[in-house]
Amino acid sequence: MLDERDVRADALLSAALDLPETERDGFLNAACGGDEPLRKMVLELLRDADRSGTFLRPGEPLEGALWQNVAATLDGMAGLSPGTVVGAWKVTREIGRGGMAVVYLADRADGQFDQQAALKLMKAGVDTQETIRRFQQERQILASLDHPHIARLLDGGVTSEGRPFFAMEHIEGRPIDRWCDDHRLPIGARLRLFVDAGRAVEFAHRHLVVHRDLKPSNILVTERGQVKLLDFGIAKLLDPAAHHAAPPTDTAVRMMTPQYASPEQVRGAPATTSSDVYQLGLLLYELLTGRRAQVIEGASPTEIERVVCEHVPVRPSAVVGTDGMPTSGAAGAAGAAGIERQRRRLRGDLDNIVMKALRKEPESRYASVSELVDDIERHLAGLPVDARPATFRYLAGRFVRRHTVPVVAGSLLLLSVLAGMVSSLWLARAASIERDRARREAATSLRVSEFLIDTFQVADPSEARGKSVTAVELLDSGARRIEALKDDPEIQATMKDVIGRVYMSLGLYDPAQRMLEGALGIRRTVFDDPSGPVAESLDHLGRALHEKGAYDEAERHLRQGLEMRRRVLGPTHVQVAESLRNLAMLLHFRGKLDDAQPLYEEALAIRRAAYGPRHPQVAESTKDLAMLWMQRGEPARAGTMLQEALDMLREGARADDPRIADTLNALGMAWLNQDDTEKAERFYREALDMRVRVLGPDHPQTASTRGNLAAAYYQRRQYDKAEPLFREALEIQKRKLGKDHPSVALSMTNLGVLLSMRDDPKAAEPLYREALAIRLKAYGEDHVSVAVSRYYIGRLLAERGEYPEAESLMRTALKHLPEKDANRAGLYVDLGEMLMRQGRMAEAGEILQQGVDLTIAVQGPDSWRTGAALSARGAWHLTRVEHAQARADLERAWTLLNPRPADDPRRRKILDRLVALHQALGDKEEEDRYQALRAARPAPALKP
Amino acid sequence: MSPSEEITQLLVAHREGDREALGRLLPLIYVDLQRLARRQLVGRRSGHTLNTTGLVHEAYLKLVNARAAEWDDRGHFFSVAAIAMRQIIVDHARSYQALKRGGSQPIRSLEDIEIAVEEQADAIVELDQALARLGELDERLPRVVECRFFAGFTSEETAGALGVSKKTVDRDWKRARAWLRRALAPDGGGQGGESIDAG
Repeated sequence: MLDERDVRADALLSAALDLPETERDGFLNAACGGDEPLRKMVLELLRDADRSGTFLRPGEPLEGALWQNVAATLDGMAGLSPGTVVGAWKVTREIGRGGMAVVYLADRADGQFDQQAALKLMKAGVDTQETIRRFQQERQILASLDHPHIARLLDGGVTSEGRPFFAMEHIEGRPIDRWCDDHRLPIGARLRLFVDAGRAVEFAHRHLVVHRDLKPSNILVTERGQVKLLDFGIAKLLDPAAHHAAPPTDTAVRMMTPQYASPEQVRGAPATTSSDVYQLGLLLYELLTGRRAQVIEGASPTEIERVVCEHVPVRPSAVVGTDGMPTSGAAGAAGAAGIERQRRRLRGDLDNIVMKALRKEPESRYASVSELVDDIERHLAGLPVDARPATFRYLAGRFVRRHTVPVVAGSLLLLSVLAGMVSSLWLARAASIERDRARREAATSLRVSEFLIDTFQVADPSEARGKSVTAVELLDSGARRIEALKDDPEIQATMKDVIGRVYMSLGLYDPAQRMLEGALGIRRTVFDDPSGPVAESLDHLGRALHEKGAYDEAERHLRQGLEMRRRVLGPTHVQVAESLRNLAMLLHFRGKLDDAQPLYEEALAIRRAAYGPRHPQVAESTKDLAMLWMQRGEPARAGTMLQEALDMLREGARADDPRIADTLNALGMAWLNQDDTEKAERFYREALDMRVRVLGPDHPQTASTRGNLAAAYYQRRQYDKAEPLFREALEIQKRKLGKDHPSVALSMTNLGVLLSMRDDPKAAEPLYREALAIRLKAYGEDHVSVAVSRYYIGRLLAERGEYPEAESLMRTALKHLPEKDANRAGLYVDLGEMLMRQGRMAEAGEILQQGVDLTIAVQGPDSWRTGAALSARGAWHLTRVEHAQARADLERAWTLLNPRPADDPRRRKILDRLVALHQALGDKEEEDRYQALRAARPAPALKP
Repeated sequence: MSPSEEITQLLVAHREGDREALGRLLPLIYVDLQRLARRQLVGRRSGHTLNTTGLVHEAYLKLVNARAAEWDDRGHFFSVAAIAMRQIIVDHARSYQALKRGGSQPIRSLEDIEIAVEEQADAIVELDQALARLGELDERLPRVVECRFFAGFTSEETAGALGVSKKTVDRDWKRARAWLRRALAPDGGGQGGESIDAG
């Protein structure tokens, strides 16, 4: 243990080492103050310190045999030679090597009895006593699994170097998939082998052991045709996550074989009996079709997640023969006839069974391996099976949820046809019609729908997007059929919900509302209140009402839905994030930025925690916040966040994910707000192209992008390009959203501004007025955009000399514009000009002063708008014969306005004023100069 | 979160004062360092010595998101790597000791190196214990020993790893060796002559 003396000695040692040798003695004498033993100690230490030599040579351990052994152990390169003893076993020879272990054939060495085993020696060690102890515990359980189809675990342990080993019943056999192919087994025989394997898993589950790593190489078949499952539960024993609280560090360790992993395993969740069901599903798929259900190219985690967690495999009957080859033996014959026969065999029950086992959500799968195996045996016995075909809720629902626009003409037809099919199957079961007849009756619609499922699954959905007219017809007919499903309210509600959302994504908000209200009503009666499904309907309906423009009602529903989800699902559930987002978007839209921000932030936090920092959902929430900042007048900050979000989406989402277009659109806006019209135009173009492709040219979102692009052109004074875009956007919006929608008002206003820039104010006025009326109705008196409309109209009227109305409008507008706002600044200037024209100099002066100050604050001192403000104030000074101030203002204004194009009215006006100024000053030379400038035609170079 | 993101975060947390971050970091890089060590050793067959610094540097590049980490973090990483090296080596030394004292059946490896391994194992375990006591005197001293002795860093590299000056490292290295000599070879016996200090 440390004592005082040591501490002192060390301090002295330290200090002495810093001194030159010659000074050390002196220092020590002084510092030790007569303490002789201390001084001696320090002197010894100093001597040792300075001694070189081989003691503790740097890097020494790495050259030694010890380190060699470290490395050799790690790699398992120390291959065991025959005769080596491990535990109670003596190695005979090596029989295989895997990524994690080396397998030897071994005999019992302790003389207890004759037994041969497969000795699996893991390459890596386990690191703590705790782990070893737990390992021993679990091993007991595994060793007790005594079943004819499970390879017995005979023994196990940990070597002195901490490497686990298992001695298992040695099985000579082939992996089940190879066995089936080698023996050219027909489907029935394959199924029976599968049942054997399944029963083994079922048995283990009853003993609370999950396999976790079911794949063909772990399921062997012996010479005599007996199935044997290997490595039960061993995966769990070796998984660090099962032993420590911390998640595993290496994805590769966690997912040993991604092709055979279940979605939960990919996500890092603990494996359960349900993931065994999934893996059995994968196995069954492969045995029946000869193809893997999950094909993963490359090892990127994103790719793995996409394939395992999102991509639904093609149904077995549809996938056979896609490369021209039937599964060996499964078809019974080669060639097209064989393929067709195999397809027929798989269609229906087997398809349904496999796909049910392969559902991404564990709750949708078979609840247990027993149920899966029972269903197969029912099929083998010719009895009806439990598995039903994927309802369109599952297929379309997944699709709808992931994309806001599931417009696939084929899939919509599918929706309505499936509605018919499902209902007829349901009716058949309800009436207890025997299976064959039920099948015959459903056969026609089944065949049609299967064809469509094929199209839906195999074809690229985005090709069919944009065919919105056909889609609407089909939706409507589908909607009618739904009414026939009164007997099954749950399904009916779900279908209404799905169709409602499809309507919404097409921009048809009235039918959407009807459908969603219907769904909500049904769910309220069928489910508890509160509950997940009711909350979902509230949320969907709220969104539809928002899109439609019924904001108060929308807010009510969204709030209710949010509270309900919080209560029922807990505050960190991702659906709560959805609800938060929807509500925040509404509040944001209504201008309540301070209310919206915390909601956005909460949603982002939830998503980050649930999905990780680079997931497309996180990108979406990042974009939401960026939009808020944009509105707060910080486009640069918003732009940075948006670019981040775009990168995330491009990494993790599909190439035609509509959110990419949303983000591109927003980036365009951000650049526009920073006055970089070139960049803005680029982003808008890209967004527009994408939206036209994906949503169709008529979609309201496409229209608004069109409008944004037009605004960019407008800002670059390319009015010829801008005007047709504005008009087009306006027409579409009127048609799709109704003439009372606020977006229509915005487009009208933009068009009006454009027209007045082209000196056609008469055409602009009715547009402004209509926009005002729309905005008043939508937002009420105190909304910013209402104020802006009033301002524009006022300005227009002022030009025409209709001062009283102009003034009234402008002053009203002032009441509701934010303090630091570009429009407010412009209003001051315009109002001031008008007052000057009326001769109300005192009032004009005050207003113009405010105008100049605010314009400088908002636009900066070098903006042409500041020039316009100074021009006005300069003119005011001129009227009061304050020549010095007038000159200062006007000359500065000229510097700022000179770069503007020659036909800019403000530029013309400043020149007028300068001429007048110099006339008043009696400066002929200057007067003439400005006169000449005023008369000159070609415009000076435009600002880039 | 990818491993490298986690490591980077822990480094940042450590920089910001989270005492436990370093502890959580260790297991994350342990496995990777072992793997890299193994690879190095394969190359060593042809004769060239194990370049630990290169190994750790390689590990750093692979595991840490270099963009997100600052220069300081790299140093921290190196010091953590050195701790890891110590742990790896001491662990294996201990297991050899357990071997000698019985317990589970031994796995016999190449006979000829066994004796050398045993001796080395004893020395290492003793050193490890002495280091623990040394740490009570000054927490930095064992770190310096890890860097210089176990990981084979030069004093410049050690300075970078621990965030101190080379002068401090040299002085501390001397201090450490002085105390350790005292603890491990108290007879002070002549440990050989004038071989050049590798530092």
